[in-house]
Amino acid sequence: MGHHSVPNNPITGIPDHVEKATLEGKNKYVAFWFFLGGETTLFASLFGTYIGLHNSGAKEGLRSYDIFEMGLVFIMTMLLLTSSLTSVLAMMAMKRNDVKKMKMWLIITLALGLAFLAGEIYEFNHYYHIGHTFTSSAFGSAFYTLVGFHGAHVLFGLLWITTLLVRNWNRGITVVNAPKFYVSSLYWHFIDVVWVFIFSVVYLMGMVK
Amino acid sequence: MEKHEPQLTRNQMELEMKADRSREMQLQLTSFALMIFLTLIAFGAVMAELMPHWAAGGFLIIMAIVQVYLQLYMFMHMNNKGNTWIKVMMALGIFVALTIVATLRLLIW
Repeated sequence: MGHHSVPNNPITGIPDHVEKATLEGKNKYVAFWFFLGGETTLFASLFGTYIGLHNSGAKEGLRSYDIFEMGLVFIMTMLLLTSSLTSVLAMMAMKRNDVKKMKMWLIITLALGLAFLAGEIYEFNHYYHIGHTFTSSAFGSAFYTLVGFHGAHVLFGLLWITTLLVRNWNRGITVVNAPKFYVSSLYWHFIDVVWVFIFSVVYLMGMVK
Repeated sequence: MEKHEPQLTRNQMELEMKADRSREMQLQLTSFALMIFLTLIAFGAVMAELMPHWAAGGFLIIMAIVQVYLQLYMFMHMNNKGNTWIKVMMALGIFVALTIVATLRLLIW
């Protein structure tokens, strides 16, 4: 961890590409992409199952186009998409050693993610009350497994970024904590990437009769 | 002469970094605007029922792929050089993912 031979940029006071300035940072970066490759296949299996079971066993009135709350889904999409941008802005602030701005953008990212999650909880609760549950049909099982798994990723991302912020609140930006912030932001973008497929495949295609 | 040189370099560096920063900011904001635009088109087309049934799936998937490309290359910086291994891993991940989706789609009836 201590072997960083990359010199500090005289203006920012930290190395350029501070997230990859050490061997550990570089390894974390590559390994995290490897992990995301694995996550891709995991979500693929859930998507494949969902596509296969779409509307399967669902009663009249409980098919995807009967129940989906598209207004809410649209708002949730905008929240998550915007949180992906604020996460980029946080990383840009990190690279120029602007710790205040980085914290600010990360807190905004967390707030947007939390609003998204609240929307999803409300949505699931609403579906549950109209009779679309985990056990009401094969469609229900596949829907809650796929979308719920994504929601669990959002929750994990929120806890992860919160932990990093709290732990590094007064530490500034260093070659040790920069890779941690950086991979957490990659994770956050990946969550948004998965959501793009969820709103396209699950919700929008679900509305086409 | 030698006394002034570091000062000059520093100013130049600062200017260069500022230019880089605004270029990067512009690029990211443009990507974001494009993503919003693609999302609006996808939602609009479905909600206004502009799409014939057979075309909807393909259209939505294309919109999603363009948007994800922007996420990966702009937001996640896959456009940076030295990312060969990451590209290989992502390509493998996507290949396996497509195989899984196709297999499950065909297996379940």
